Amino acid sequence: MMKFTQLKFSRPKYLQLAITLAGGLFLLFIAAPLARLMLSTSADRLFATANDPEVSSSIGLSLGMAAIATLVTSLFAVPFAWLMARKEGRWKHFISGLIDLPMMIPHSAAGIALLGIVNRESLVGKAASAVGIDFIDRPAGIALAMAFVSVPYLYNAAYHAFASIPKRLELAAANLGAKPATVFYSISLPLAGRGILNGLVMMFARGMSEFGAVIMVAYNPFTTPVLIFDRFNAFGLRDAQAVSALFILISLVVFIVLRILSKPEEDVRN
Amino acid sequence: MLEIDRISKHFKGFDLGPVSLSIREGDHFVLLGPSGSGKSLLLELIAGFQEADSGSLKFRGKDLQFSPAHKRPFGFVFQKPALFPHLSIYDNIAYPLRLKGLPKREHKAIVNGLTEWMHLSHLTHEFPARLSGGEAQRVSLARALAMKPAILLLDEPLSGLDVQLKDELRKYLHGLTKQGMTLIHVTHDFEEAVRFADQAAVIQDGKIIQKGLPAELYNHPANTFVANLCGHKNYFKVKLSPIPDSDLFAGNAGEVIFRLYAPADASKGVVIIDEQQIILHREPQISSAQNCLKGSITGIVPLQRGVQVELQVGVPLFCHITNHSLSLLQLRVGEQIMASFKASAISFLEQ
Repeated sequence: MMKFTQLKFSRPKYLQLAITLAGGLFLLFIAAPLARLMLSTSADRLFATANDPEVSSSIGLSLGMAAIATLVTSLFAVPFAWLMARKEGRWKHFISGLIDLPMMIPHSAAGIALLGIVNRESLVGKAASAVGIDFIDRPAGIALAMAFVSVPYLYNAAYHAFASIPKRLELAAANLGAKPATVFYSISLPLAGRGILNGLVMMFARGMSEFGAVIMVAYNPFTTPVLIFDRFNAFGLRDAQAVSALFILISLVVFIVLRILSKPEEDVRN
Repeated sequence: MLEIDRISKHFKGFDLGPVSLSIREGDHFVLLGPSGSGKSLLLELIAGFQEADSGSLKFRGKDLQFSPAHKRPFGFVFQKPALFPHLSIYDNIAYPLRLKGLPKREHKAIVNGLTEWMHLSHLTHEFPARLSGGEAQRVSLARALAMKPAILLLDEPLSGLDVQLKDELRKYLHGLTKQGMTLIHVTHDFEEAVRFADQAAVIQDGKIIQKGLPAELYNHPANTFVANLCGHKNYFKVKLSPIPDSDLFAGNAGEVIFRLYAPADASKGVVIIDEQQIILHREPQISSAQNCLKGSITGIVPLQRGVQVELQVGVPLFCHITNHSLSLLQLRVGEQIMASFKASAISFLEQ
């Protein structure tokens, strides 16, 4: 009996210690490389890197194309997520899996897959060329690659946001005379707004950092992740570190600003 | 007139219908059934939230079967309030008016009229999250009325509310019936049906098993299910044998024999004895009651009105008496007592 009581009281202590230790190591694993990177670059060097026209234009390109990719894709992905959230059926799991696929496969493979569709000899490539859009080594290709691998983040966030709206609210709106499109923009979209905004932030953040798919479709012009790779190949670790630190800093600022904008408010859903 | 003709809907593990019902305009129609009986589903079919597999739905002679929910002239009040959380109470009620494209001036007049009638004027600028359950349900009702529905569909709107709030909302529903509004009201509560209904129907396992006035359902339940739903507890299986030189039958329930009326060719079935019509007395009496049973009191339970005395007379028998009778007879648990009732107090359901 005595042994049992001792065991009962001593076990959580060891457990807590073990969990704390494991948690500490886990945090260190995330923080250490990033901290080392930031500390290895002086403020002067960071400033000089920011003034490098090749670096600044790559940052502009990364942010700009990620924004375009996010906004354009959202026009398709968000209404589709609504439709999926309101339909039942086994095929739904298949479609969800399909949409997650670009996120799961190696991004270089995703880029190769995309290249197969939009290369200059392909049907899509030719059709796009005819209306003046070129994908290979062009900003449009960068946006396309970013969208391809990052849209699952937006789709999933939007899907869950729509699915969490009680269905009776949409039925009530229909009952009061709202057509399906009106139900969507007057009820579903505002109620899922926070979740969708979070998805947009995730997609944007993921898109601007994309390397593997982008480099396959458009090595040039340089987005920052490609530039980092290029600098590392041409000039070595120190140069690559400076650009990396700068981009991480910018990502962090962008991310914090967007997070504040999409900060979840008090949940007023009944 | 709303005419539902052999409407049916198949789900995995559940079949609704075929259901046929005619509901007159101006009636308060109560659809009575336990949870899982398909009553809410039937209401959703009427509203157009679900599509029927077969059958037809006509309103004022017009076929609505293929008309989408937003084109049907029926208001719907859900069991749980379905207010739009991102809109104020005013905007919730004005939502259908905006869809109709009415000018803002008219919105105001209609919303104000409704909120005044339902004592909600002080809440128009609040948001749904701030309302109590009763207030939210009143707003739901006001919003449904704002669209000026031809029929109001109510899906157990009182079930989530406490007694006082129920009474409050009932008043408004009653007021609507008086104004001539057609209501189709789904509930599992027979008392609601008694209180409201001009007509009622009982639904069990997706099928309508009895239609009529609530009093008819109570006095002549079509089967033990309806009897149970109506609050009857005294029902027993009996074997019948005619009583010589009389038009009565003896119903043998095992330990007890009842004397009752039954169809001439009946041999077995269920008897239901109306709890209200059983008279308790201490001494044997000469009376017109054909049934007089002696037993011991096993329980005395207060009811909303009067008390329920539970007897063991060979079978358990429930009697409803007034508080006055209870104190006059000075009944105690464990005492012996006699229970009398007429042959006509027994309903017989042939099986």
